[in-house]
Amino acid sequence: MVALPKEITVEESYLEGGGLWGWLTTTDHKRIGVLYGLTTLVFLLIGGIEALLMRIQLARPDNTFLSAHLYNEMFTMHGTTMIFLVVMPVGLGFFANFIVPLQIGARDVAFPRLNALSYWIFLFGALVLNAGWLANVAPNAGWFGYANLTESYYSPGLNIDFWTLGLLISGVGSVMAAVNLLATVINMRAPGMTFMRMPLFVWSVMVMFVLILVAFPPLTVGLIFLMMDRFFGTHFYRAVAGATPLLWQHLFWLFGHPEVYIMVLPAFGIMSEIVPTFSRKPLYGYPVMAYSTALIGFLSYGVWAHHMFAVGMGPVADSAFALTSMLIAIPTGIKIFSWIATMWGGDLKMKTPFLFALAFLIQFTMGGLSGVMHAQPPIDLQQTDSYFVVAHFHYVLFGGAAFALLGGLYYWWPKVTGRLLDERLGRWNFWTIVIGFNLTFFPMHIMGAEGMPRRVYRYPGDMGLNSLNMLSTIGAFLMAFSVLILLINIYKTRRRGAVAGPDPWDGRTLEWSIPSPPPAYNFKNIPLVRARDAFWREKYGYEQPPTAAPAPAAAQAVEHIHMPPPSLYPILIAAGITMTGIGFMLWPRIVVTGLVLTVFSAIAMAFEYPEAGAESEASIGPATGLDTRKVGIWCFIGSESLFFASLIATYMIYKGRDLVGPTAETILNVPLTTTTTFVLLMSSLTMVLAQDAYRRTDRTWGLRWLFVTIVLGLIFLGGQVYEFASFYHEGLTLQTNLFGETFYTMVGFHGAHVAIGVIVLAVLAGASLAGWFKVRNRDVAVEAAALYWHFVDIVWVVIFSVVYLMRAIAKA
Amino acid sequence: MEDLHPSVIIGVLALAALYIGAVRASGRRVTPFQAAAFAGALIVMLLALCGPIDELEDDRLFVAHMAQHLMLCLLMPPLLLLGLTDWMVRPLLLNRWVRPAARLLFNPLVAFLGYNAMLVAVHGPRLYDLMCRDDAVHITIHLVMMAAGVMLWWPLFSPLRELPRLNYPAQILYLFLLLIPMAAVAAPISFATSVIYPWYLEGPHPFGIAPLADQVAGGLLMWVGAGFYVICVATLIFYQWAQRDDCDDPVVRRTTDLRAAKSH
Repeated sequence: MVALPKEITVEESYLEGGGLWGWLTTTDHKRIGVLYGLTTLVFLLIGGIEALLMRIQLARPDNTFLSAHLYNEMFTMHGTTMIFLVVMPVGLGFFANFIVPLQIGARDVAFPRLNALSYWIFLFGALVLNAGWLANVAPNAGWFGYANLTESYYSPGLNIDFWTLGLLISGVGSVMAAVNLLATVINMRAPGMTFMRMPLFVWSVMVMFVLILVAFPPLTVGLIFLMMDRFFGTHFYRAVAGATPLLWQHLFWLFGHPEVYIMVLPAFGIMSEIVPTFSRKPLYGYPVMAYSTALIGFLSYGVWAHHMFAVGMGPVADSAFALTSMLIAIPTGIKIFSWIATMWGGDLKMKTPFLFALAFLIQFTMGGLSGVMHAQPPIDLQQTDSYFVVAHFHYVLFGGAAFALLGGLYYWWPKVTGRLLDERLGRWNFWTIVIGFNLTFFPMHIMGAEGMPRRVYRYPGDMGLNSLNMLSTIGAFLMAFSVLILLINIYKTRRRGAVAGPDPWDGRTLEWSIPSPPPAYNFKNIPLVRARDAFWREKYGYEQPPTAAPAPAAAQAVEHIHMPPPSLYPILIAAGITMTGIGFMLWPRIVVTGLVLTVFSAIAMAFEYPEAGAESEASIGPATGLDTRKVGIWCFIGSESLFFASLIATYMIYKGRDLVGPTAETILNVPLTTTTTFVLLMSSLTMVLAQDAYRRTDRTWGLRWLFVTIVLGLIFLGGQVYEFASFYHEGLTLQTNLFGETFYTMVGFHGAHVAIGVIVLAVLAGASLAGWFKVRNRDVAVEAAALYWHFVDIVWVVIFSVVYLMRAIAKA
Repeated sequence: MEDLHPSVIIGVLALAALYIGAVRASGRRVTPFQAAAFAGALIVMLLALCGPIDELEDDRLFVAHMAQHLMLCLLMPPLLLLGLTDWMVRPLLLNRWVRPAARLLFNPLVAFLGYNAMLVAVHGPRLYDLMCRDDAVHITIHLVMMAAGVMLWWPLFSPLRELPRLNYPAQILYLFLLLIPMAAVAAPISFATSVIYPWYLEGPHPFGIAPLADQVAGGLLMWVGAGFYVICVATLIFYQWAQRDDCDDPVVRRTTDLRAAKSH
């Protein structure tokens, strides 16, 4: 946790003060949450307008409102925007970011500046993704961008490049946010807040964070391959060179299916908060709910190929994936029934959030049922790429996720702004959107069953689809009207709405125990958690049912509160990364500027505040006893493992499919690499010695061992450069064959990791020379760097075994 | 019956005798659950290595061989560990010579990586084929599998406080992570379009099952079957956690930290 000796004693809302500069440099999780919220709202409007334009085009048969080209861009950007720029970031960036620290009794997230960085990267990535509109080259290959279609010979324009780059950049932001928030949940829980007492919203988003960490790497790898195919002429997805475009589908859906749960888990969490609060009963079956959440996370990683029944994987694989897909219905069903059981016999308060929760329950179940239908391959073969599927996933993602998110918005809005949204307008909002939604999407089931295909920009008038399509378009405009009501509601109540007070709904969880909007430091005193539904129990005592009036919280002396300081570097780093990306695509000249800006800002941010790292946080120790930075590195390593696993898996899959030489059998220099491998392993040993020396505060030896580690790392890198150069000399380039591209990519990315490790160690060595380590407890920085270093070494052991050892064994 | 391998019978009987001897000699008692678990482990061992499963495996049925391995790696070790008591294991593992090795091998990270390295190595085409042809190699690998299985399950079912279990959330995460290498090994076997291990092509197959279909079934047994088993274990552990971690305990954890916070 970063700390600044700026002491806040005035109880002023987090929204006040600082001006524009304050918002640009903010590290307050609540402000960052609001920034995410506003950004996603803007993209909701953009994505919504794209949907309306499509519905206008489809309102009548043989319509000429949109050209085929524009229509392709519309459905691609509608899907991509709604998934990557609206539903996911509103769950991750707004709800989780804002609410999680409040619900676990923390003053901020684990790494406040990283949090700001995640937001800015997300924003810039989102802008890059949409930049194509300006030059009329918006992405146009569908939200899942199937390979072949995205290759340069089918999509020669910049359209796909905006898509690839935008997703890569915003993906980095998502992974950072997940690392940060996961470390927050693991380590920053208030005393007494055990996992079994955590609000279910926190449980749900915790599973979501894990899913983001494991699901994004395959997408990143897939996008990197696509970029290399487009920019460097490799053949990762090109059958011409023996590769298969199906690789993209596997990588994409390995991400894509967990992504569905990434979007829907926050909705589950919100449901589990709203339903008990407005039923005035504890959540039914808490442990079962928590476990079914985790189980959904488990299972979602084993079902990706149900998106691929139509590619012909064979009956066995189809059956296996049908089985695992249908298994997911079990934990999901458990949740539905637990929510119903929570309402059963409850004292139901029919406020807007609860109405949305009820709608979620019904509509999501309908989406789930059509999902079970096409979990069966024979039915899926009929329904795939038809409007039936469009109906299905809109019932899941709009009738499901978005309704719950809207309910969450009405529920937590008073906490965010201090004012309640208007109930009457809320009801109008609710009924128009529910009716509009069903009017839009229910007919699509029938259209799909009648055979109307997805992603086709017009249809003939004699197919019996005319009135259904018109109905659907009318529904879409009703929904647009409903969103307008929401905006009016927000505008109207922002200044003149009813003042909410700290606890407008008679809530159950800790966020309702503090003022609305909360002060910058959230909790004056870190709360003591003695029960599940902590705040409810404190209000009403420990007996059911609630009888006594809420007891006033005991006033205690204010401690000195250190808050994370503002920082300009997050936005600079994000700008640097974006510049690098754009330069790569359009103006190679600015790549170097971007890289320099990124590296300089990152290093500057590391040493921005001299107090960082000294344990000045007086309040409480980490919940697990592990240093929070190490927990963060562990989470990051978890994600990185999947990144390398995807690269290594690709190497294995493409092994032996080369059409031309030279291949591993002829070209690898095993003795040389064995030597450099030995050198790298030795560097792990010297790293341990350095760690140990710093722990003993022996900075002289610490610096020496650090230096040796750097030199060993550099020797390894030198060996790699020599190896690459000699291969190149022998005629193996990135474009030669599958071995060349998979080998260079995998080994090259590992080399890049070693190089980053060397830079980090060099920076630490410089800091050590400058006497930075004289402050107590800073040796954790060395330990965190060491964790990363050892991880990179272990990855090399795997790569070495897979590439070099296997070849040596094959020869022997 | 030719498949009643004397080495297996002797091994199982020796383990049973050791267990009973240890209980007798110590004068202490084991709970019926522990005795039953240990007996279960021995029965699983016998069933896997001497029964019809073994016979079918010898007759070139890949799915039977997979079932045998899964029993040895995933079923036997948890039962074995649940059957042992701390006073039995302590003198064996915590004496001066074994202690450092035990500390290393039963470290969760080492155990996890060690088991999965074994998993990957055994399914390499060359080693697997060699194992099918050579009895000595085969027996060695089965012993290694059981040892690696005990390593794998130690962090979940350790009978020793000195080499403790992981905490509950970590146990569940550990099982979740186990699914990944398991799928990574099983998926290529399930998806392969030709028979990977030549030994299965060199003779008639029982029941007339085609070698490729047999291989797919084996791959799926590990992927879906064993995956489901692992999830079931995780479920049991979760409910144990939910039960143990009393949700409304007025006594708060980390009281020392709190006292510090309050004294401000």
